[in-house]
Amino acid sequence: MIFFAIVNFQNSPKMLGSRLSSTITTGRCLLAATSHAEVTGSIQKRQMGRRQPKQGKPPILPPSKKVLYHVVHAAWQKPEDVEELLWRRHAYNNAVVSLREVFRAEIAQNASHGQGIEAMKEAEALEFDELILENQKRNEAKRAARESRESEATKETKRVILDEIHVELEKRNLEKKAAEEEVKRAIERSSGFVDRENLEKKILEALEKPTIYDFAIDRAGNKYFVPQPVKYQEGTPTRQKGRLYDQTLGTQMGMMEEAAGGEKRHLEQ
Amino acid sequence: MPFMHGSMPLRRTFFYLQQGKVKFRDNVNVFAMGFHRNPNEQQSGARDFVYWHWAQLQYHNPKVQLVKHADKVITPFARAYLNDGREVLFDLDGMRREEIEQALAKTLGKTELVERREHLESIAKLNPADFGSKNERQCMCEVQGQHPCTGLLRAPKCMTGKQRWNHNLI
Repeated sequence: MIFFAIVNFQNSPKMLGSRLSSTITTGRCLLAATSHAEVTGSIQKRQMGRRQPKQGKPPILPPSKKVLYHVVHAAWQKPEDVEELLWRRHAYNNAVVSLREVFRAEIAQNASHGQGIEAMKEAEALEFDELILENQKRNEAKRAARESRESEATKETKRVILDEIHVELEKRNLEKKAAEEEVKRAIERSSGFVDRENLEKKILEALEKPTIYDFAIDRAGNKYFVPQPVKYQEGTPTRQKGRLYDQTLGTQMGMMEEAAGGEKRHLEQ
Repeated sequence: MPFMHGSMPLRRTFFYLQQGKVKFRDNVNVFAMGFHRNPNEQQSGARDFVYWHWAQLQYHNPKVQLVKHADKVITPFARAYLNDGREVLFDLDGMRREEIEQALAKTLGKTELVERREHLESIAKLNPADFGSKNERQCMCEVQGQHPCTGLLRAPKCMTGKQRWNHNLI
């Protein structure tokens, strides 16, 4: 029935329109039918690569007759040859056995005389112990030397530090003494200070003897003081034209002496 | 390329590695060394030894573990840990690198006795029936009268694995 449907499709292209509906229903059957046709067409198609057959006889088969019944036939030899070979073989084997004995005895003798490997290993261990002891002695010597060196260095460092401390203490003592002197001088000076008791007296003194701090100075370092203020007004006061020390230099030579006098006064006070 | 400047490439050459003199005996398992990166005059020998001979040490003693202790203690030292649990301490204070190398080679290195014993052991171990790169012969084919290697002379077909005598069998 299915083959019939295929033939129908091929033979009548006009029926393509109705094919859509028919393939939906019979699609699976169509695939199954084509695969069946391929298998029946050839003998062996397994969709796999050809496997290489194993060589030789499969292990399940018995050995071939040729191998199973093979008998080794030794070639014929002359009896005297066989005799000669046998003798030679015996002589060779005896020689080998004797040599083995000789070598064994030699090794045993070496071991007993302290020349074997074991004896050498023991000697090595002793030698190694001696070397380690020697190294320990060297370490001890170095340690002692280092200790003495370090003690020397410690002493030297201690001395240097103590010296520095001594210098520092002396410096501080001097500073302390200087400070004490300064305080004492300040206390002495404080007797002339202004306080509540002598305030009136000091004011009167200042009015009587005024100290002039107002001065000008030129590049040569000369100071030009303001003239001393007059205590009582005498005559007609002049009209002030500028600052009091705006003076023409060199015209009032007397001012230098006055200034010197004023400075002296200032210092005395 | 900064690696190629100075003494760095020199001490990594194969020739320089081969020049090392310290070959530890089999007792030594671990070798540790304490040194300073910014040493004073007394400590500079240990630093120089590490700089110049450390790679040589490792080259000649591939089975020994080498440990560096940098800036750990004041006195430079070397300490070897032996396979029987003992420790050998070296005080390297004030030693130059040549002196350090000499001291190590003398105490921990292979002496003449050790070398002789090892030579004898290697002779005893040598078996002419053995083949391979560590033995006297590389291959059986070097023996007179034996069949040469198939690389040199082609073997008869019947001796190769490719041979099939029954093509009827699968």
